[in-house]
Amino acid sequence: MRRILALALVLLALSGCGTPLQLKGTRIEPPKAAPDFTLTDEQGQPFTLSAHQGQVTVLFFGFASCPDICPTELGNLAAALRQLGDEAKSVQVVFVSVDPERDTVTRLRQYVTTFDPRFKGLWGEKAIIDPLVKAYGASYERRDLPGSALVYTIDHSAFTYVIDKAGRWREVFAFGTTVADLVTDLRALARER
Amino acid sequence: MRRIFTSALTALTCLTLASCGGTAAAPTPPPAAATAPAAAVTAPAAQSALTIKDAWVRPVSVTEPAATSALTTTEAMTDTMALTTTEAMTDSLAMEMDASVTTAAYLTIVNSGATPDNLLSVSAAPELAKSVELHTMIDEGGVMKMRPVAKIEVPANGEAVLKIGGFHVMFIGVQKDLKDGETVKLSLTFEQAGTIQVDAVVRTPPTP
Ligand SMILES: [Cu+2]
Repeated sequence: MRRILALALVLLALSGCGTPLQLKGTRIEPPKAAPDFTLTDEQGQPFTLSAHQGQVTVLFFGFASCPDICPTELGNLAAALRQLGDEAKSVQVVFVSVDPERDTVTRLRQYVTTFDPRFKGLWGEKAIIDPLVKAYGASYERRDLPGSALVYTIDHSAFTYVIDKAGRWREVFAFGTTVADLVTDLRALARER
Repeated sequence: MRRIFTSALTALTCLTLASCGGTAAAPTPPPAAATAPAAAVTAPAAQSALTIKDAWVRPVSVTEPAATSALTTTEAMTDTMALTTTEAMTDSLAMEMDASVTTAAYLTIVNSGATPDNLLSVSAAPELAKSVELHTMIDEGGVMKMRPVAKIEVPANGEAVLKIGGFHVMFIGVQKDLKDGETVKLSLTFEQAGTIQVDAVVRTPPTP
């Protein structure tokens, strides 16, 4: 019995190295260079993805007038950062607006910091946003809501994209991924290199 | 070793049994059909078969957190309106965001009566939001589509659940901050039951 235990331990230890990282999200296999972009952040400063190598970037596309889906995912990501504690320093959560018409730099700053002051809220012209959304396999569409005070909504995919410290796109989280799973993966990626 | 294993198994079995027992022991709802008609006969018309439970509202802020509200030259330039004081900034921010700031309320409507009902509208204090609407969220292959609905059906002897990713009460053009622990008075209008008041608590939803 003791020998079996020892063998199991050795196997466990071996699986830690050598084999690729076990991730809870859907892995991008093989990892590929994350589509790069430059947008305006919530402070009015340019934000270029490739300039943030050395950090794990967590991307979410949404809009600031979204009352249900976006706040839920951002709330989960905020909870994940809190649980990461000090290691959250190596993780940057980035909210990209797919409602450039209604969202502004000011509005995005106000919106994202409600969840966590460390979040970034990015704005860009439709001409920049459209190919970017497509490059990540995300989607969005402006939809008029006749009779609603909201005037229009944005139908959008609600995945979360994770880019590692080397600028490689590693995985995608489905909407509603548990905070425990977010923490597990983000911690593993934050400890790389 | 085997003894340990066996006792572990026993413990597991106990656990399993306990959880099964818990399910079985869970209070079954009283047979509503038996009590509801009696109540309908004796109770005044205003008393309805509907009860509202777990009403809550997602916190929202129409102003910026103090830590980030300080204006810099860059921001002023970006925001086209050149503003000099933080106060002016906050005012203009509130104005600019008039229609765009939203939040949502969620609740469960329990119908103990034998007739279905429909939630037709919800209202709140006018100073809270410009408009309050009934919406739903449709998940179409991972694409989230929010749509207004004319009503939310509450089945007889059943319930309607307004929850994240589904039906919600949508506040459009929120005018004031809603902070954790505060209470929002909601007025729900039903086709049959008329108007029911409920206090919704402002809270950050638990994470999955
Ligand atoms: Cu809505």
